[in-house]
Amino acid sequence: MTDAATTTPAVRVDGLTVRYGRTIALDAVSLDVPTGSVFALLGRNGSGKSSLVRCLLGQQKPEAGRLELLGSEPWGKRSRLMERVGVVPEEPDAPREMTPRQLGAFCAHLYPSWEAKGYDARLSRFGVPPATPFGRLSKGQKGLTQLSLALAASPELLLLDDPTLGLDPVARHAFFDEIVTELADRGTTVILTTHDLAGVERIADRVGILKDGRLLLCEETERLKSRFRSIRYRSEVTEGRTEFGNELDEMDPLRAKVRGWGIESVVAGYSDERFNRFAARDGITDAEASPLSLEEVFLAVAGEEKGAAR
Amino acid sequence: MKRFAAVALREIAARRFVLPAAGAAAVIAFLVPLLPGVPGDQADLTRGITALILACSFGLGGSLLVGASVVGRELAERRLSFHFSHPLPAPIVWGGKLAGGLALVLLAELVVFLPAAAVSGQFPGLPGLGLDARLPWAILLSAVPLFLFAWLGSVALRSRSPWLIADLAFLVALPAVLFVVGRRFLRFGGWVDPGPAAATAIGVLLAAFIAATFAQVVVGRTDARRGHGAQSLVLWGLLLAATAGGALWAERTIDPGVGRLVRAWAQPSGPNGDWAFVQGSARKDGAGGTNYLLNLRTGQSILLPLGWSATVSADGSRAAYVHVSPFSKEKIELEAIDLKTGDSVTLGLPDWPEGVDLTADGRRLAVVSQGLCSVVELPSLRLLASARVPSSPWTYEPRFVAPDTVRLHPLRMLRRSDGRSGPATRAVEDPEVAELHVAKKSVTSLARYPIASIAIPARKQKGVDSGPTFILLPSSDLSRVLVVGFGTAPSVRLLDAASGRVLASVDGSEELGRPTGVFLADGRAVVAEPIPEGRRLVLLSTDGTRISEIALPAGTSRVRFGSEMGEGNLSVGVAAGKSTEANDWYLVNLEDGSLRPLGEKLLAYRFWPSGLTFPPPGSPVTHLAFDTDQRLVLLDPKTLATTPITRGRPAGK
Repeated sequence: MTDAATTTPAVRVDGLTVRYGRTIALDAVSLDVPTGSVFALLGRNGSGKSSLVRCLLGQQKPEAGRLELLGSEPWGKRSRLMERVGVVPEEPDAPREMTPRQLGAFCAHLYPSWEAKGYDARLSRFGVPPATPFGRLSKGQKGLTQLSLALAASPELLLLDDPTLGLDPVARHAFFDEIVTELADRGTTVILTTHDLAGVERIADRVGILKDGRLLLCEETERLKSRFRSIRYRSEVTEGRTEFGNELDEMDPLRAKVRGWGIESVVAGYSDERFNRFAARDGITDAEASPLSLEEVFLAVAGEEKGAAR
Repeated sequence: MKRFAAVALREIAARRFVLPAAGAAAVIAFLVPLLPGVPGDQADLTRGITALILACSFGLGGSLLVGASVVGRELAERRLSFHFSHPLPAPIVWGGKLAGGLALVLLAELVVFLPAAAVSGQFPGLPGLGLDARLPWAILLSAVPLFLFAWLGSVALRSRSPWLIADLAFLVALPAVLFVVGRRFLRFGGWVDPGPAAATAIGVLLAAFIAATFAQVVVGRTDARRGHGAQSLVLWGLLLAATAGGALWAERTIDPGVGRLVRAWAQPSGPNGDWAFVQGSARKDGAGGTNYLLNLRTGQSILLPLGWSATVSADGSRAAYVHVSPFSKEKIELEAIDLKTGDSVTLGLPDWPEGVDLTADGRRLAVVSQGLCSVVELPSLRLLASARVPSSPWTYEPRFVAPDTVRLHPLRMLRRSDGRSGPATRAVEDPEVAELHVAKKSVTSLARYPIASIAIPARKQKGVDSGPTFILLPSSDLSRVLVVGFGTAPSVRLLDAASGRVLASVDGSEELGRPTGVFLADGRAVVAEPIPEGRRLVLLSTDGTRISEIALPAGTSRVRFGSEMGEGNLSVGVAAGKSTEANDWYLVNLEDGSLRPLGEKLLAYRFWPSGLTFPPPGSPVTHLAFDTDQRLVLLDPKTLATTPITRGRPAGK
């Protein structure tokens, strides 16, 4: 990643708000996606991911806030921007009667730089029959066809809206492999919304989590994973306890459960120093910290309210 | 252009099965004439009609199906995003889909229709039907608005947005508004050339449809609800704006105001001296007609439906007006209008009435129609009496002698039993004058007027002999009758109305011409008598005595009587030679016999229906005149100054 790339974000969102009638889909969301990064936007259904994607694609006009995609405002410059953006939608939206070959021919008219050979090669690699109407392809083949279409235009930015939804493990694997290859080859910026957290953990270097239209967090994956930990310990401290104890407050506990053997908690502010201080406290015994997967972090952040369970 | 073509061709390719189906239908058109029972000489016609019907079916079905699916279905299935996630500007998406969808539908129609039309040798028309060659094209092109309608309807129904309620409301409201505007337009005599009007309406509708589909795609993009909102706003905004514009135009056309009339004609309405019936057009070409009752003293005007003359009661409280129903030319309506409130009641009549009269207070109305005199109370329209008028080849004019007594005055002899012009087919009969007693509901005969005994000189000139005919003008108090002969009857007689006795006679001849005359408000009569030098006016007293004779300019061949403009002045128009127009107008002082030229001012002359009414001499209606700019003006007989009433048309423009 170059200095210029890190200083000029591919996507800049500032105070973005989208409403559908009385429902707030996005509530003053602000985030940056650095050029060349792979940004995974996570959230439960209805959290606002698709609204943000539609805004990025210039298909939805925000009610408030500013949005820049590759330096341009997507609503007004959508058509020009789409020459530089590859899109794989959540639901395959290519015309059902067109074969992958016809889709390629159609798209070749739309892009100044269309890699017909690369497109055909990808179809072949994915095992997509080029002469079968799109409507008759399997869900995995549809997704891979759309990914092939998106990549054939050599995009600067790839926008994938839950592209592996409903795909079998083989297709999902092929999908992510292709993205990894694409990243290695071109340094394309990727924005990805997905529920496949295991898959995305391999490739995402930046993560944002949306919940009820609000952006709960947005940071580098490694940093995120480094500050989340599962803490297990026994506690003999009985005085001055809050609902589930204040001994973890320094590490920003998200939840704690009292088990028969002791206490299990997830913290969002872990560091070795803080943990050592915690473990050295009177009454704390058998303390141990274990890292969390991205899925566990997501569940901890987006799944339940802080302190909701013990 | 490449992108536009790509989108358009994709729309066609997506539904390409339509074209082979159209080809099969084209073959069917050629097979039908081979069916048993189809005459061989009708093969072309059968093939042409079959092809047209099949083409229309393809057009109708195709336009609805393709129109509904071209965007609506993709929106509902969330597949329109395919276009918007590629570098396709929204106008190209819209234009490509519109062009592709329409091209497919029209192409399918042509595939069905053209082979049969071409083989018939009367491309593009239909042989043997005598139809305008443009008609098949018009039928085929009707697929265009249907396609757009289906597009809009499909988006509206699939979006499930609250705008659907607005759509339905406007869908009901707009035709209702058009109906109200159109009804008023027709009722008050608005007229437009149907061709350009229909073309304008279709053009506006198409423009609104096209603009709405454009807004739906460009503003809505992949959001069905937002697209529906945009299309509804544009569609109804444009249609409402056009309707409002049309309504304003219609209102300006039917009610431009008396002052804006370019061409106008006016006459006194009944015995009241303030009200005039004004008919005219605000357009320079004179097209369209607007009728008003105009109070010359106050300026008050009342817009009237398209009709003929109006009668105002002596006290100026009520008017009776006959007009044709705006929705059925067979239906005649008599409207009684309260001139203070503008309220009116309408009485349906079986035929155009022979005559109408109001009592002095406007509370009763007498009307003669189809040989029946009816008296009704106003405004309740309660029938007070109804009786047959005397049977004869005369039309009868009702005149209230008193609120309870109606004089049935024989006015005009019908020369032919069929009512048409041409040689007379009836012999002259002495008409019977009678009175209807409202309370008793009975008719009493008063007298017979000796018309048949008027000598008719033998005709010397060759040509169609239309025979003699007569108009009987009653004096203001109904005590005297002036018999004015027409056709081959060059005579005027002054009769005593009660007895039918002849009080005075003025005769002309085929060489000198025929006399004519009118009553003055005070019961005296003025007759234009033909003499070798031209014409002279003869003033007759009520007992028939010649009071005076006033010479008119030498060479006068025709005389028209104007109005009694007060202080003994009567306006008279004269024409010389064979001219039928009264070119020169004079103010004739009947007391001292002097003539005062009125210059270029053309006075509104009295013609026979208004010769039956006697507005007070010098009242505003007697001052009605036209100036050289064709303006209706009020003429001051003393100073000859004019006050314009209408805009007119300045000379040379």
